[in-house]
Amino acid sequence: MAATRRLQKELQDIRKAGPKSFRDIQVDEQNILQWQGLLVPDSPPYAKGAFRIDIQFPAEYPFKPPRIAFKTRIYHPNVDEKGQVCLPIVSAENWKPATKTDQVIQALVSLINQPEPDHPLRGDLAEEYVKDRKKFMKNAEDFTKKYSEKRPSD
Amino acid sequence: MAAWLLRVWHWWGSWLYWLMWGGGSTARTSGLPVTIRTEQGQNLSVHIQLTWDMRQVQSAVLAQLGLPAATPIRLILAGRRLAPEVRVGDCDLGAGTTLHAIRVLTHCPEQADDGTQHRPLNQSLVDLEISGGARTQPASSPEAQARRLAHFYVYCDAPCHALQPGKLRVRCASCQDGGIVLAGEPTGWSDVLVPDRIQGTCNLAACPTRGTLSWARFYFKCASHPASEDTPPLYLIRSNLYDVPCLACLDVGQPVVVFECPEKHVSCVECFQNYCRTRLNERQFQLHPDHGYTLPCPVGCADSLVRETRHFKLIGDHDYERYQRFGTEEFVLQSGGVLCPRPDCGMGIIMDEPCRRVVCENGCGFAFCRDCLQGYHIGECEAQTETECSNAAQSLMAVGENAVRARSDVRLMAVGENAVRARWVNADPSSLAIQLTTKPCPKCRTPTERSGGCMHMVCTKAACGFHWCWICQTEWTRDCMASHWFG
Repeated sequence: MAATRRLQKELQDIRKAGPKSFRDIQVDEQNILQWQGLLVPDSPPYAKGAFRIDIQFPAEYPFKPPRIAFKTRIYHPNVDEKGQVCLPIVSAENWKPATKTDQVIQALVSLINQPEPDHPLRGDLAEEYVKDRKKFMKNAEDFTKKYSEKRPSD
Repeated sequence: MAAWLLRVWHWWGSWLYWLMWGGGSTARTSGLPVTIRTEQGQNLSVHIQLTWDMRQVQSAVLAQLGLPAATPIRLILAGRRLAPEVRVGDCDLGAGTTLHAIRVLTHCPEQADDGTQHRPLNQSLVDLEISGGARTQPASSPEAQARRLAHFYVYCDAPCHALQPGKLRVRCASCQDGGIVLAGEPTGWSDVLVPDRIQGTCNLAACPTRGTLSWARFYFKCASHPASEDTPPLYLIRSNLYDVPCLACLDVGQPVVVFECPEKHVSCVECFQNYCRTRLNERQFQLHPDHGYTLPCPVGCADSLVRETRHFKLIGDHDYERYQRFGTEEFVLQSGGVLCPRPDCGMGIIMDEPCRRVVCENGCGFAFCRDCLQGYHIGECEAQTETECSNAAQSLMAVGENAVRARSDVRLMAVGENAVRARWVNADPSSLAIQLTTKPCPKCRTPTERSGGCMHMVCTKAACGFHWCWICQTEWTRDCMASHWFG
């Protein structure tokens, strides 16, 4: 299957490059369409934690985009309570089959580091982010401490 | 039993082969049967050997024509005058191929034979992707030279049902015969695909252009079996000359699909098939007024629609049939028509006049309301019941989220086979049976089954009692009585 061949290559390339912001990639041997990894942002208020994400590739990959979901709770205007994230690069309108998963992950990392309050999934957090940044940072930091996973030591 | 049948078939098959290729002496059957056509239009069947050179073919032809062995003749194939040292095995000849044999006449000004002789076209034509000065540059090695040669691909409808290598052939635009010798060779795809770009001299005695230059017409045949019909070339399928990886699976395939965008994005054939099927399942093909029902480059480049829609045959017979049906449905809807909402019908209907009552005239005969796509009724359309709405929503999900976005009007209900099937599958079987076997009373919309008798229906619902016509699905009239009272 073409999706499998492509994902094997992508997985190999990502593991070889070993990006600091996306670690501990786990792939089900039986099903290469399902990835899990640890997102390690480096901007406050998320820089004190790590976030587990799921990447689900459709069988039609790369002609349909992967879907990304947070398994770890995160206080972020662009991620809703269910862990769904609104990432333009993987939306049906913008998706290009030539886009690689590492580009998707990079886009995700920069969205987490720099929220986009203009296109929020959680309007209340976006409003707080715009109107009272200090309060937002405090809440997000507390939330991160409470729910996020431990960052890798190296 | 099976083995016995197979043996019989095998025996029968070989006997047929023997019969077809003019069996008889063993010497004749062991060769490759080709047709030799003379400048007078006479056809000879000659058996030649793959190991022969053209000199030997000439001797065989002269012997069969009863001419002296020293008679000068030229053999023409695919617009080339084949040189005597060219070997049969190096030409893209197959059983049934036609070669032209032309006698060289001295003092005949009409025969524009300058004496030049060529290697066969398949051995010399450089890939049409290579342009400009790079076409004439010698290759660094024989392997590199072999790689530079033009390869063509066709979709063979029968018997192969598959993508196959194609053979490039030439005929004279005036007499439609292949006895033409090219004055120049094609240097790009447009030379091959667009008529009247390359000239040649026709050698057929009966050709009106004989002695002057005439236009050459290129055409293609499937190279995988004898006696192939003309087959349109899939010109987006090309040799992967530069080892470009597929944009989707990243493998370096051979051959590949080169899209029509200026960037010339490349995918392997398998990924092209997956791409088409994925888009087809979501009805994301676009209907273009000139090119038809088609797709752009998967990267989404501007001006990249596939212009030759026969490339979509690569998705296989079953999916190509769906492709054709979806394309037709799209055309009907875009032309302001509707699709018959009856389960398993889906006939496209383009109305002559703007009337709310639509009859599926060439299909199932059902009369329905253009606005709500329910059986035809008198009065305002009714809001759908909750169950119907949820069934419709399920069917829409099956058509794909994008299709839903693309057409939010009520016709979505009848986006076609998929929508209809998905909807009826989701509905419970008894409501499907009701949809299939009943027509609604045009006044109160009670599903009504006609178990026999005439076409004059009287609604059994107590408060209704409407008199209506089973065929017209509207009020019973004298006209109904006159024209189809009993069917």
